[in-house]
Amino acid sequence: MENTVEVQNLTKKFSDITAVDDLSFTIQKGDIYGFLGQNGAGKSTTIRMLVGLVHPTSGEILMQGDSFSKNKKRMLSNIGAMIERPDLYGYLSAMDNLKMFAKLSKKDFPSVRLEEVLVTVGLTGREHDKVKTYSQGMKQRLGIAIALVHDPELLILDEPTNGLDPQGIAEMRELIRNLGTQLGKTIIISSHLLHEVEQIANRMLVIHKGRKVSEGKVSELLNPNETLMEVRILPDDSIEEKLRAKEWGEYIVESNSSALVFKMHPRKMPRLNKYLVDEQVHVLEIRSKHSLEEYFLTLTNQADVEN
Amino acid sequence: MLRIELYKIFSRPRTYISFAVITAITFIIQLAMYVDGSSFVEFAIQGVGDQFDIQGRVLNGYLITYLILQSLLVQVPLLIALVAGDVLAGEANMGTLRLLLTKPISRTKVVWVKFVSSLVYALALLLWLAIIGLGASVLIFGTGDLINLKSDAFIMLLEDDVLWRYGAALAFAALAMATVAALSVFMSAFADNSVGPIIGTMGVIVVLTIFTNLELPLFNLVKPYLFTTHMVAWKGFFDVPVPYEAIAQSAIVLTIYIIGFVVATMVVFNKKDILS
Repeated sequence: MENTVEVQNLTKKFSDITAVDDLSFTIQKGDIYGFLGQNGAGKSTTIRMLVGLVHPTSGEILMQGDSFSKNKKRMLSNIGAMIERPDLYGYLSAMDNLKMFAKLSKKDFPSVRLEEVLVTVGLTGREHDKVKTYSQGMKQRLGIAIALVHDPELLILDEPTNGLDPQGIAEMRELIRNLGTQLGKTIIISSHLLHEVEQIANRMLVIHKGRKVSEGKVSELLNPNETLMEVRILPDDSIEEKLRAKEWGEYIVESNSSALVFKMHPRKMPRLNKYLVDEQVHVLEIRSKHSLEEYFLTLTNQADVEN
Repeated sequence: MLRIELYKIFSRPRTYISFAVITAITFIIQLAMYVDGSSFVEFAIQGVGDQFDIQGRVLNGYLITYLILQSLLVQVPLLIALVAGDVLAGEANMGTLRLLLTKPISRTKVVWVKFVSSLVYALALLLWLAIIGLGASVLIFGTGDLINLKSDAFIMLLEDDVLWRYGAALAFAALAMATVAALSVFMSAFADNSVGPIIGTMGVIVVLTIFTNLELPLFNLVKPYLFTTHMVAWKGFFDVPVPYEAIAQSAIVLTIYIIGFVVATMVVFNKKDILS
């Protein structure tokens, strides 16, 4: 598959602090690429180098095979970016902000494109209001609209759900997934929220203290044999005892009268569900509490030990 | 991009603070002169009244404009810093610089456009000063010969020999204000909020103006190289004869400063990591 981005031995030092240390990774066309790391791991610095805001101390960024630093203007015309908060001109309307950044993108497109992109991000109806009257979620959506307006192949979104309420986070994830699946964009999304990357990305990179600790397909990097599964039920004080008397007892990690957490292979779930139903337990919800968090902590701890 | 920058500048309410300040100061001077202008004129010419027989309307629009210019051309640089000091640092503070620099525009062009837009703003301020200073004063007080009282000379400029001098003085003032704009943009490249560059520019101008005005041998050595020394060369257009050579020299020094500040800003800004 064609590589959209290839990062080779990228390093950034601020005085005596090494923020990014010899980082290499590749992003393939069509990837939703999760960029995962704790706060201060070097995600934002790397993302900023990918859009030319920060100059690398050494290393190379290639985009579709060409050097980014030598073809910066051409490369940027094919990138849409939202770096951290989408800070916009609050004293201007959303439409004015959108038009302004669209013009700066140096691509010709019909004016109907502005309407289209507002529809895509679900921001029609208030486009003529001043941005300072917008909620954080609306600003994030406008930020995505600005990143999308010139129809770039590569979208770079740095912590796009920061500052959003739970509903806003869910909507933003859905929007990003749609951009990847329906519009075919290659997307880099950085996050310190572990389950966020898991829910959105197909490939991911984990960095810790500026160094790569893991890279690959999300599905392959996570151990699918031991997944945390949470079962929410109508309160039932006797079910735990019954489960513990059976084979399910060994899988229980946490329990109370209305929620049970099991650590087991997801394939066992249908059988467990049947057992619960047979025991007249009213199952409200079954969801995966994936072990990405454990996985991440294991990786970063390993990296700390190796260093 | 220039149109966008100008749109941004002139869409912000703070931009019009400067226009309001100029209007207020001009109005106050005009009102004061309207109420008590004759005693001011009597006081001003009392030293020469015994030697010259001064006739005609001394208190006229041209004299008022000269007084306004003398007062305001010290304040206008500070008002220019208010906007020009904000062009890069303000964007960094708002966070919009990140978004702007992820668009396919070179940083050199960003600096150039920011400087030119600041310059347009400065020229708009000067134009406004000309309209309400010269235009309104002439309408209220009429025209007449212009008396220019200096510490060592008494210059009387005939009525029909004045207007072009104002045009030339304002053109030179534009060059001086361009220097201030370039200095402000330069300072703006170092900061991530606009307070620093605005106060920094004001500080530099105040300190250098003190150097320029103090008659001390040490300062006299450096005075020819300070841009503040040359910013007041517009006054030469109200001398007889006009010291064209000195004015041209001042214009060259100011131009060198402008080029220096703009090029230095480009170098600094191109090397800067945007972390805001």
